[in-house]
Amino acid sequence: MADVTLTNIEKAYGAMQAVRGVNLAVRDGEFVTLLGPSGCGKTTTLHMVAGLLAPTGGTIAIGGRVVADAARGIFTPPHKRNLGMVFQSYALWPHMTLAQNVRYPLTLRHLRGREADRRVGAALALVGLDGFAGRFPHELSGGQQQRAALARALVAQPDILLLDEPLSNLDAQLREELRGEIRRVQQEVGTTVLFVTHDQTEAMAVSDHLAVMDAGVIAQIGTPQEIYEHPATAFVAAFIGAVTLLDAMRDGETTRAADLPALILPLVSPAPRFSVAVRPEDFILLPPEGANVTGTVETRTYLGDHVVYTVRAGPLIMRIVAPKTEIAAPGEIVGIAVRHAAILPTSLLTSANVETPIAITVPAK
Amino acid sequence: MRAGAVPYLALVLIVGLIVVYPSAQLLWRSFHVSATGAITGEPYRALVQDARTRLALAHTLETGFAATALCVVLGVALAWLVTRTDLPATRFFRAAFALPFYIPAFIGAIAWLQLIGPVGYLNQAYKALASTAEPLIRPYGAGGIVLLLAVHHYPLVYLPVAAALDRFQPVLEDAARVSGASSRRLFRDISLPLLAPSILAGTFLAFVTNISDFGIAAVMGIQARYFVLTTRIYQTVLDTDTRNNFAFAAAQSLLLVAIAGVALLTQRWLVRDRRYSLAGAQGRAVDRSPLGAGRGPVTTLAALFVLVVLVAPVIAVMLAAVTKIAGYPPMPGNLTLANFHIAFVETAATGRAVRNSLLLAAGTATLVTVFGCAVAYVRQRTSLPGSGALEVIATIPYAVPGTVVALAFILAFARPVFGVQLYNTIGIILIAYLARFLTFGISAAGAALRGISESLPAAARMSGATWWQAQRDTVLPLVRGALIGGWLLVFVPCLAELTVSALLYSAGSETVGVAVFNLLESGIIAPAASLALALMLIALLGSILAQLLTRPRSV
Repeated sequence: MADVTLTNIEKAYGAMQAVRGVNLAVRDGEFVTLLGPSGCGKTTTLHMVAGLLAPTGGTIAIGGRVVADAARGIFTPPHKRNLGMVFQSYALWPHMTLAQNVRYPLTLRHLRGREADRRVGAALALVGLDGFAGRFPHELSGGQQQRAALARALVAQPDILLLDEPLSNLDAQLREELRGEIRRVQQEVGTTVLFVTHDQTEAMAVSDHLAVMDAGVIAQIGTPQEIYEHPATAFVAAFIGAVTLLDAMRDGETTRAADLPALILPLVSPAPRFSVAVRPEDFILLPPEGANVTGTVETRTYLGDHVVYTVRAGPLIMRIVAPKTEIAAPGEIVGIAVRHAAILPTSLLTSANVETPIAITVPAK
Repeated sequence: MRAGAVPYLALVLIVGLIVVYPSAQLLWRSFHVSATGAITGEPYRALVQDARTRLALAHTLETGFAATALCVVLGVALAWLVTRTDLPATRFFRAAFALPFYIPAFIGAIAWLQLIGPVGYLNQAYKALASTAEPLIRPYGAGGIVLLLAVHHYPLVYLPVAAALDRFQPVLEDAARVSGASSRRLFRDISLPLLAPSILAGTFLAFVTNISDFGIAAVMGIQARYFVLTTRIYQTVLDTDTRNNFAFAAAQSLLLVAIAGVALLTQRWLVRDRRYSLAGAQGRAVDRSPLGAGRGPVTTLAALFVLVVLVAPVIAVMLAAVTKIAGYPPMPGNLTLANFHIAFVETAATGRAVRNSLLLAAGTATLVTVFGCAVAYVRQRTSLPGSGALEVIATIPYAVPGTVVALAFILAFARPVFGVQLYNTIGIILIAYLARFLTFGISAAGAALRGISESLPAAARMSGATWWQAQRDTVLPLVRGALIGGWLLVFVPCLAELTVSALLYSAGSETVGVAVFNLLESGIIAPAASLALALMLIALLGSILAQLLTRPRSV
């Protein structure tokens, strides 16, 4: 078990900057996820922690020991970092049985005989694969292969467990099952985990903290709840779930949508103009009679447990989720109100009419 | 009648006539059937007692093992160099390293003789510099055979190993490194075991090809009375003084086939538990390990290797082709175009041979391609039983040595079959070529058709096309390149073929290979070189063109 600290990590391929100054601290025993679209630098960052890539700038420390420092030319190769890693494509060695695959990290650590047998058995039992020890990888399903890869990554009790999109090759149901399994195993073993994924649901379900990456930098770090309810940027807001972005303006004591002043936003304005993000479930549909703002239903998508509407009001198009009991037909007029809106702190920085400098902090709930 | 039944029955008949029937004849006759119909088994008794056969067997194994060892070392090292290191100009080296395989072996041998032969440039230069009459290199015999086998056949190891290294998922190595494996352990525990099946496959293919060779052994061995099994079989067939020489040659042939068979079974046994694939190259690109300070020297060595195995023999044979007398230094006064005149015009047999070879090569390539399409169609679009077996049987004539195929055809067609006398005509060579290259056509057409969805012609039929229009307008345009490439892959080796035609030709049905061989045997070296040069260039250009045409389409 150990903590991981990344300080100003950079990776450049010639003129192309894949990672541009990433800072991240993962505490001992914590489950942290690097989340972002493809090409955002998350996998590159993970591979630098693994030692499969060398950073071109910055330092990486594992358990207080510096394993990579570009400036001082320090680089510990992967086999001396005591890691476990699970890859997207399983990466089980096809010429070895499951037991041989799982035993290999122990062999490399000169652990043989009874103790090795016991550890291999325990690791396979931990992931529910006892009884499959003698099988070859190609004799297993994708889900079983990925469980075996997890057992192999954990068997030597690594300081850090690295997960490189381990669920992306599996079908939806298996993905959900296995992500629960990964979280259970991590809590049982208590190991530190750095997890890379592009799937926000997956990330929210398993992580203690998320680090959302965009274009080679971390856009925001926080708990899943903080990031969902108080996204720091429009990118984060849109990447973590659906969102309607609105320009907001101060009007005395009230805050209104700039393009639809009748729409009142329930928050205190920090500036004359700024941006907010409204989640679909934070809109309320009302009877049109007596409503401040009305709009026209443009589309309706029935999804069983809830209904998704797009509603046009003036120049705005809003995405609204309503319980399945509230049925409005396309073309119908509905009333709209906002229950909660999140200020995007970055919009305050770029806004020309900031009155006082504002520290960008994620507001505590 | 079921779909495809007519072409299917035709295929069964053809394969039966040109593959199964000659094979059965060879096997049956090797036991020697006396006039009374009794099986004597006498050829096998003679085989055991004959010291010259025992010696030829020893020579076959000796040159086979030595050349194969060289093939493996060269093939694996070069494959590693082009796929896993930062060697510059990788694309060039990659292609250049594969080329020696496409030079017909005996043509290559003739080219090398211009360099290292008794009056070759190296020996002439040495004699002039050292003022001695003793040559530096004596190429005839085991040494020359091993060298030339290795130079021509190492690509059989190089190509599959390079392909395996391309398919190799680097993530398997990443997983080992993260698990704690050092570079040495990684290579020993992961990389090598995963590559082993490809290395083994290449090794055994090279071994079987080495022991099956006739051209190199004939050019480099017969001069020094150094016989291997293929050249010994050739001698036995021609030696009409020996009693039942055909039956004896058949027994010798089966000995050679048995060695190849044992090699094949050994390989199957060695890879028995390794039924996994390296396919699915996902994830990141491979790491190329830096050669560091060795990059310069290694690059120079690689360039030198290409120069020695490819460029030097081509240049040597070019010079020899335009020199008045073999062995004269290539000075302006010694240069002439007369050799081409001698080879192509004055030697009447040559002109005929060129016509014959063009006819044979074009005919074989066309028939094989048509046949291959028919088999591929039957295999992939219909569900007739036994078509898989047909495909396997069709590989036999290519898997066994050409000398053995030729003998089987002599035995099978010496007397008229269905009232047709093929023996002593060009027809017997044509059907022997057809048998030998059938499998090329099947795999080329199979590969081309496999990628084509059945819905393409189906959609054309729905649009109102007839069956034939649908094939012509939707399937043919997509497979045309691959089929022309496959056609060339048969045409080129047929054009410069020697092994089969050396035993099957008769006056009037000589091939170019035979013509070159006869000129060489008669000591008319410079004109032989001019013919060899022409064949070598056609072979190289044709092969490069075929490679470009059969390259998998990237859609």
